Amino acid sequence: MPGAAVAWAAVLAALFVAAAPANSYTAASADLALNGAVVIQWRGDAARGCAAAGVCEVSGSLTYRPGRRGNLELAGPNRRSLLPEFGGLLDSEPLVVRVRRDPFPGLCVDLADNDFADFSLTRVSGRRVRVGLGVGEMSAARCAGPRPSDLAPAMPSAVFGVRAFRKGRTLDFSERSTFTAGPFAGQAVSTVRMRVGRLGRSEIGEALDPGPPRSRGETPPRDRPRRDLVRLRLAALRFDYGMPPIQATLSWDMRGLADPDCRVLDSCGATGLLTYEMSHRGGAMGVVAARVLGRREDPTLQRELASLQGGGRYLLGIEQTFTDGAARVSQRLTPAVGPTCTDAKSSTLAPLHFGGVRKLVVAFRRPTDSQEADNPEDPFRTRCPGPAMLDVLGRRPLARAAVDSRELGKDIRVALVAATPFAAGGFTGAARGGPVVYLDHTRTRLRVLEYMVPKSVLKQLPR
Amino acid sequence: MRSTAAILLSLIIATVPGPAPAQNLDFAEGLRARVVREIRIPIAAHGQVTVDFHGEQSAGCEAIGLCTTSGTATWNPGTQGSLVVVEYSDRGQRWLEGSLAFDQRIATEGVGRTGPLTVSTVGRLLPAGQTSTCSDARVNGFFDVRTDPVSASVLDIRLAGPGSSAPATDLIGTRCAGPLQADIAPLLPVKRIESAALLAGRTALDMSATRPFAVKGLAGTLHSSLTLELGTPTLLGAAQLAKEQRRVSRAFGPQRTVAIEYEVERVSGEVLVDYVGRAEHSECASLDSCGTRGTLRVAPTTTTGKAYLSASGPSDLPRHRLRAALGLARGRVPDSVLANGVAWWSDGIGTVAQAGLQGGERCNDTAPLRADEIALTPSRTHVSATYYTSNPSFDQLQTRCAGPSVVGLEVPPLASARVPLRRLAASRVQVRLRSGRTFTANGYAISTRPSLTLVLKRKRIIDSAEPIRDGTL
Repeated sequence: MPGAAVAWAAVLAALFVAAAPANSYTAASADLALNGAVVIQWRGDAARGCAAAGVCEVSGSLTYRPGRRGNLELAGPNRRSLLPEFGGLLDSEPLVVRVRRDPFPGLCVDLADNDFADFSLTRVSGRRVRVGLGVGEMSAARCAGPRPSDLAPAMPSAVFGVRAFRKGRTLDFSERSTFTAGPFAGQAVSTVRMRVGRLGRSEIGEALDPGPPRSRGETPPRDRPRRDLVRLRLAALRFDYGMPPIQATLSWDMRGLADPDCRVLDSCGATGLLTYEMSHRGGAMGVVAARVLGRREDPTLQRELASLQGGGRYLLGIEQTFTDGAARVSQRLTPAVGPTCTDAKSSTLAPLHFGGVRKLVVAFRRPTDSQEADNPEDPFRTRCPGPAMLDVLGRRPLARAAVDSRELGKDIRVALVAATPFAAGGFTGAARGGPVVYLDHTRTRLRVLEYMVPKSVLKQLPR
Repeated sequence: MRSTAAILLSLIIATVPGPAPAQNLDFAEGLRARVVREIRIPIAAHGQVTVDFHGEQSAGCEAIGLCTTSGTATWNPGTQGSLVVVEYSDRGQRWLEGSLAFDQRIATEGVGRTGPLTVSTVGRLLPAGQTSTCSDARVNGFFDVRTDPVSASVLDIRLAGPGSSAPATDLIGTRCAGPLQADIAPLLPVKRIESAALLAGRTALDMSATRPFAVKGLAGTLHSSLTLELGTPTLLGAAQLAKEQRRVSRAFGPQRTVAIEYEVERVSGEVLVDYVGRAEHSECASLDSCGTRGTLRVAPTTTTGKAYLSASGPSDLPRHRLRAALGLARGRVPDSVLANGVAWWSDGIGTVAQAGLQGGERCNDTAPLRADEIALTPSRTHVSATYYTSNPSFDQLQTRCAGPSVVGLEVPPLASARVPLRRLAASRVQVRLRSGRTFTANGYAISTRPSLTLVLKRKRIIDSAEPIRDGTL
C-alpha cells in the first residue's frame, strides 16, 4: 500500500515537527511486533432506554485485528530515557462489524476502514506516558450500534514508564472495559500485546535534517522576466448582497434494496427516513462580473449593468464559503419485522459555497468537505442502521443550483435542487425538499481594474 | 503467475527504456512486444454479485461434511473503478490486454467503504436445532480482463475466468465455508466488447444474471445485479506512452541488467498447515471457529515453469558487480544493485486437502492449486526462497470448508529456505524448503510443517550490457 505508506510518512513527519522539543534530545525508532485483537460487543440496554429507541433486540460486535507490525518514534534527553512522541499500527485489517436482532433472522455485516491507526499518547509525568490504541473509524459502520465518539473512551490504553520502551519489552494492552452509547451498553475486550524491537535511528529525524548549507556558487532559481506581458483593462461590476439566515431540511425516504442485494446489511423490507436539518447564520456576500475593456473604452455603471442584464459576456469572480451554523441529523428505520429504530444527533454543517465563472453556482457541499480530516464521525450515521453519507451523496453536493449572471443586480431567490436518488449501502432512496437561499441586493459598484498579463490570457477573456 | 512475476518483470522493464511488456508473456517475449496504444476508461459500478448456497445431498454433501451448512456470499465492487486496455503488437500479431480495478476508498469521508468487498454469512445447523453463524468480510480489488487472443479488436470482460492460471482476485472466498470461486466462475456473466466501442466509451455493460449451480457438496444460485458504466476514454498513443516510459527511465537513470534464466524442472513435496481457532470466545464466536482445528495439506506439483534471478544497476557499473549479485562472480555488490527473483509455474496440478473439525463436525475437502510461485530473494551471500501460495487478493489455500485465510501482507511464508548464492549459479539447482513458521493470522493460530523441493535447470544468462532498445535484449 504505497499510497498509505507515503501518507503515513507525511503524517509522521508533520507530527514530528509539531512534537519535537526545542531542546537537544535523542531520537530513536522502534519496531513493534503485535498479536491479539480488540473485540467490542454491545447490546440494547433496557436501563438506557432501548425500548424507546427500538433497539432492545440488537446485539453486535466489532473485531479489530491490528497488523503484526507497528512503529514508535521515541525521544528523550538520553537513550535511557526515551518516551514515545508518536507512533501507530501498520497494515491493520479492516474492522468487521456484525450486528443481529434476536430473535429475528438476518445479520448485518459491514466493514469499516482502518488503514492506519496512530496511538494516542498522553504524558503522565516526565518518565511515564499513557499509550492508547487509537482507531480512526471504529464504529458500527452501517449497522445498528455505537458511533466513533462512543467507542473512543473504550479503546484499551495503559501507562508505561521509560523502561517499557527498551528492546524485548512487552507492552501489554490486555484489558476489559465497559462503555455506554445512547441506548446501548457494551464491553471492549483487548488481547493486544506488542513486543518492542531493536531501537534504530529515527529516519523521520534524519528526513527533517536541513542538510549542508547551500554553497556560495549556488543560487536559487529565479523566474525569468516575462516579455510577453500586455496591459489588461477590466470593467468590474461588484454586486453586494446580504444573505439572511437559512433554515433548510432535506429528507430521504429510504427502502431496503431488493433481495438478495439487501441481505448483507440486513435491510430487506426495511423502510425509513433520514433527515438532515441545517441552520446557516447568513452573512454578506459579494460577486464580481468583469469584461475586458477596449483601449479607449470608458465604461459607466448604467451601461455595464444594462450590458450584463442584457446577456453580455462577463466572467464572474467569486469563491466564498459559509460555514457558520449548526446541523442535525435524525433517522427513523422500520425493519421488515421488529420495532422501529429512532435516533438523532448533532451533525457537521454542510458548507454553503458560492462559485462559478459563467454562472453563479450555489451549492451546499457535502458536510465532510469542511470537516477536519481526522474527524471520523460520518455526518449521516446515527446509532440506527442505515446508509452512510457516501452512499447517499456519492461525490455530489447536498444540493446545487446555478444562477444566470443576468440576474445579478437584483434580489435573487435561489432554489437548490437536492442530489439525485441513490441505491447504495443496502438502501435506495430519493431526496425530499430543497433548500432556498435568498440574496438581498444591497449595492452595485463599477471599478476599472488594470493588470499586466501574458498575451495568451488576454485572448481567452471576453470583450 | 501475475503477482511476484509480474512485479519482477515490470521492475526490470521499468529500469530500461522501451515499452512495458504484456503481462502474460514470459521474460523475453515480454520485452519484444510493442505497445500500440492504451485506452483508459473510468467506470461507475452499480449492483453486486450474490451467491446463495446450501449443503446438497445429491451433490455429495455428506462426503465433505457440509449437509447442515447454508449461507450467502456477496461481492460488492463499490462505486468507481477504471478499465485500462493495452493493445500490443508482436511479429505482425496484435492483441488486447486489460485490467479492471475498482477504487479502494475515499479517505476521510466518514463511514462506508466505497471500494470492493466480500461479505459472507454462513449458518451451520446444530443438532439441537439452533444455528451457529460464521460471518466474515474482506476487501479486494483488482481483476483481470480476459482477452480473446485470436482477435485483435475484441475484449471479453469477465470478473473471474476459468483457466489454469490463478485469478487475480477471489470474489467470494472468506474464512467461512462455501463454494470456491472456481465453482461459480463459469456462471459469471461475460461481456464482449469491441475496441471501437471501448474507444467510443459512454456505454453500459449489463452483467446481470441469475444462474443455479450444483458443485461438490453444495448447490445454490448465483445472482448478479451488476452494471458497469464506461465513461469517456482517454487514448494514449505509442509516442505518449514512450514519453511516459522515458520519464520513468530518466528517474532511474540508464540501467543494465544481468539475469539468470532457469527452467523449473520439478516442484514436489508438501506443506502441512495445522490450524486452531483462537481460544478467546469474543474472537472466535463471529467466525464460528471456537474449537475448530484441522490440517491443510498443500502439495504444489509441477514439472514445467520458469525462474529468473536478476540484478539491475546503473549502466556505468562494471558488469562483474551485477554478476556478483547473482553469485556468478566474486566481489563486492554495491548498494545501487537491485537483485530479485522468482520461480513460477502455471501448469501445476497441485492440490490443497483440508481435514478439519468445526464444532465437532468433520469437514474434508480438496481444491486444485493453480499457478504458483516461490520468491527468490538474493542477499550478499545467500538466496532466500519463500513459498506463500497466495497473492494479496487470492487465497489458494481455501477449500469449501471453513478455515484460516493466509491472505495478507503480514502473513509469513508457509515454507522457506536459505541457499548459498553460489549454488544458484550452478547448471542444476535443488532447493529444499524445510523451514516452517508458527504464527497467528486472521483469527487462527497456524503452524506450518514444510517439506518442499524446487529443482531448477539453468537455461541461459541474459546480460544486457547496453541499455535495452526497442524492448529487445
